Amino acid sequence: MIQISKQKLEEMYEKMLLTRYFEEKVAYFFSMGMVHGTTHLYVGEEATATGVCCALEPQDLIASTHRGHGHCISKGIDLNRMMAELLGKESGYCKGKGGSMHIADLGRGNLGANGVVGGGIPLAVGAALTTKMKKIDRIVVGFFGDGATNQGTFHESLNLASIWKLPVLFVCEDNKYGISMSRFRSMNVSDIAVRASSYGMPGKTIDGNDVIAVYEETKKARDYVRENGPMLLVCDTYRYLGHSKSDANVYRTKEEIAEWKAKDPIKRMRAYLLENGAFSEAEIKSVEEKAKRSIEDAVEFAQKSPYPSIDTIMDDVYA
Amino acid sequence: MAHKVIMPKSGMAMETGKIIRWLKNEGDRVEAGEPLLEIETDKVSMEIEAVDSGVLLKILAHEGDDVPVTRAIAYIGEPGEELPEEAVKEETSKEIKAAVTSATNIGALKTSDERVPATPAAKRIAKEKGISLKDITPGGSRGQIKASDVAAARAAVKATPLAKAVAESSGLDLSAVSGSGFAGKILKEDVLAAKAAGESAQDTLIAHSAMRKVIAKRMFQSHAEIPAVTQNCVADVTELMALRNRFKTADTRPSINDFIILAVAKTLKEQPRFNASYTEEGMLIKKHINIGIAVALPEGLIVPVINDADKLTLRQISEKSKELAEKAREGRLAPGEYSGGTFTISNLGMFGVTSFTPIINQPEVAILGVCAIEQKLEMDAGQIVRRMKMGLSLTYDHRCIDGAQAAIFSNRIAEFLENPLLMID
Amino acid sequence: MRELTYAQAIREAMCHEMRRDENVFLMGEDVGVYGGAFGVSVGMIEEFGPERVRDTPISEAVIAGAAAGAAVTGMRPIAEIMFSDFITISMDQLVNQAAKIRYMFGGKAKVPMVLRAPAGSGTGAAAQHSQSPEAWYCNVPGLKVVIPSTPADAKGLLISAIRDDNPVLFLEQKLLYRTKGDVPEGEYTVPLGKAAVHREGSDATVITYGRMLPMCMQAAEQLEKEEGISVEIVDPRTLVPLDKETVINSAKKTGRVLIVHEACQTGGFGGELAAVIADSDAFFYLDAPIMRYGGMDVPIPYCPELERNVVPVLENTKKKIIQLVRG
Repeated sequence: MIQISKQKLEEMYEKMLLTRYFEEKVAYFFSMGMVHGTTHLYVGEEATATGVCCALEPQDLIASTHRGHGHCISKGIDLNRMMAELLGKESGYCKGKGGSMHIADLGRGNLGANGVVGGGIPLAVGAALTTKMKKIDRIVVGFFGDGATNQGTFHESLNLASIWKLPVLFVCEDNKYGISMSRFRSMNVSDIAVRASSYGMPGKTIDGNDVIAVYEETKKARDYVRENGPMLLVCDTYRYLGHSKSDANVYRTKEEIAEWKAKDPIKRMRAYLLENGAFSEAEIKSVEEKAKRSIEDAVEFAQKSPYPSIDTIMDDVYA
Repeated sequence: MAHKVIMPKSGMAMETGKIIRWLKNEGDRVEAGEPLLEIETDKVSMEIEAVDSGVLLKILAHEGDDVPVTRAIAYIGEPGEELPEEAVKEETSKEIKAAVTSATNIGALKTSDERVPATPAAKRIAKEKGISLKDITPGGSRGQIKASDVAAARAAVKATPLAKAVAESSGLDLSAVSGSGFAGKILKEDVLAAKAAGESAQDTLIAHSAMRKVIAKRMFQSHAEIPAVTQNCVADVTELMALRNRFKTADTRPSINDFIILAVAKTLKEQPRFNASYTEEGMLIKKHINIGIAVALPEGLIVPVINDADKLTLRQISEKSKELAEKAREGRLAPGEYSGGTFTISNLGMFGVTSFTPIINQPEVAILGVCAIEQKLEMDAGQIVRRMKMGLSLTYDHRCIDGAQAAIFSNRIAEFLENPLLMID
Repeated sequence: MRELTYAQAIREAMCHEMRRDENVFLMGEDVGVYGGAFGVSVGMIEEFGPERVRDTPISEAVIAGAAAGAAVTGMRPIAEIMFSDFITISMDQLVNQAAKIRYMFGGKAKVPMVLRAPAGSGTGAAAQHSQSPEAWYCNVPGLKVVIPSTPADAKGLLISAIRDDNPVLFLEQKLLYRTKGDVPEGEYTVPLGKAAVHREGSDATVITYGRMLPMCMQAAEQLEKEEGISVEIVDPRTLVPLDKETVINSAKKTGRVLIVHEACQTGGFGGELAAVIADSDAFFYLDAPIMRYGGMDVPIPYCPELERNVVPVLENTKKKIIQLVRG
């Protein structure tokens, strides 16, 4: 059992809360017609993003997915600018040009959310190539879902990373569905981690809703990757809400959802913090309040920000 | 304050939702997270949960209603709480009256046969020059008018010499003038009318053509260097004209000018002093008699030369002068054809000029100006007779030719013209 | 001036840049000891080592994707795809990632990568190894498309492409690899977005690129001698961004335009060129409809005689120019 500092525990709990509150706020805004297009919410999966990102060093890089708000928040992001981006405002991360699926913060090592399933995996491999060629002491984490492990890019990327021994940690967030396709119908292997062996690298499945476990495993994985090259970590988790805002959950049962809600990662962590005497109820409440306020601040900032002017349409196509 | 329950936007493209059934009634207690109603979108039915806890105070939209997203459908609060104004009125769904756009009357495209297929370049040039496409013969393999076809049409603008001269002096483009003469020929009046119409309040600068620049230079030089004097005399050409008319066919009939050239050639042979160049050392008498005939062009004038005119018959002179004049007008003269002259004849008779002072064409020493043939009434043996008289204006270089010599020269020419049989040898 | 082949010129460009900038590296299938499928990278692994001349598995998607990822994080990769036909496998990474990243991220990132691939028919490689697919990639904002037609241009354009901070698709012409031409020594660049007028003329403009350029030059020379027709030849060199000014001015000057390219005529880049001309001042100087002569709308056939005739040929090019001028 790795010793985790109180500060780190607080950081992780706060980030999970920020993620949850942020996503709930976004869901609300969406129902109000204020979020253009659609968005893919991370509710229920918080422990994976938080556990992984909090175990990384500041110089490490991540490449995210279409369901990327959790990764962005946990890697460290300006919440104001993130909320503004979702509302399409000029002050957003991408000046209103990218939206939910393309949020990126290169300064904080976030190579961006990605609208193409499996689209970020080769980018992570490329970033790891740079890392190795420039001899930088860092790793790259490539996030993707269970559905992406059937995509060609997953296989090409793991293979190339393996033969070139690139410092990339492949993290699969197994939330059981690719929209409506259950992953048990989309592949004939019951444990995704076994796919790593096809490419000559280790693979491991862990409880993605136990943030402590995710944290500890990631720390171990990071050390491994730094020394030996890539590996695959599969996080067992579940999303409560539909794939996107157009999803009416017709493909799963209420019972299934309820079953997973009982294993809610935030509830679990809250219980863990209290039980281990690390935190008092008051301290926990103060973290919760702080997180709520941060989200409210972000909302206020975003709502006050102006939209980008039409004159900016042609900006930034070419460097 | 009561909380508004809205029709939530539950899908990227969702615009309205239909209420299938309320799961709670007015007056029921509701907890946040409890299912409140069922709705249907174009994709699927779903349950909507209450966001707030309280009593369902008022239902605004009912089963079967199609409600736009974000519109209020109910209020939840504490009993007795005031509801906002709009909640009291049952909102009726407003029909968005589609703007009735009257179909713009798209009539059948005119398939008139007046449309001529022409390339954009051809159209542009035709428009610039004011030529109608109907007046152009198409030269393209598909029957289309090409730019080169417009250029060819342009060359054939019909105008009288006077009209051309007036247009040139006014700097008007003849092709922009519509003619009122026979078959659309442009007359002097047409040019003047176009000029008046086009006169603007400001002065207009018309740049010199290359030919004009050369003429200006040479005229000035001649005028500056030669002390020139012009003498006038008159030749009675009645007999000459009668003689001329006896030629059978129009195309072989020599012109009066051809006779003049013959007369001048013979006179120059007799009086070589006029077929020379002036030098400081002396008069350089020229071996050949090459007579230049001034030809007016729209842009200026040019002087094609009939070489060895004294050795040619009248017919030969006639053919040569026709040929040279035609070439001059078409711009086809070779350099050898307008250089090497030793004496020049300038005929302004067709313009009705009765006398003028032509400028010597250097390095020659004299130039014969021919004026209009006029009818004159005279007394002859007590009878009034009609005689045709033609003025001759001879300009000579007074450095080497004196008045008496000049008079003898021009008189001899007149003598030839008055007695054409003298020119037969 | 010394002569190099088109392939040697490309190699010289890559070597020059790799010596000058340690961030530049080459990756692709068989680029290492094999020297590249067409011998373009022969000798490079010996000079630069396997770190900077990287053989990859047959994985066109990750070749393009890893190049994009490396470019975003500070490298200047040159990714080689063995045949232009296979760029379709890389297309998602090229179009949805590399081309869009800068814009989607609000200008924060740049993707300075070059994707090189040999294109064109004539080697008997048949339908799946002979395409000229440039038109598809001209419709992707954020991506630049370059087609070199001479050895000198190949070297100068590639150096510019490597130095450009945007993703550049560099479509080499496989049948031109062995052609020779004068290539200046040392460093020089040919700017992207600038066309070349390889031959001045007054009766007609032929806009062409790639393997069709030498053929059109030959047609022009023969027409001058045989028919007294003076043909101007314009080579865009960069399709996106296009040097519209040079194209329009030439069309305006001659008033007669023929566009010749190897790629299939329907949906080919010739349509874009024709529209650019028609929608400009040059329209009013056109003395004939703008003519296109592209490849026939078929996949490239195998039999040599069929293969030869499926793309624009000399005799037909001359006939079309004559018709353009005299019809």
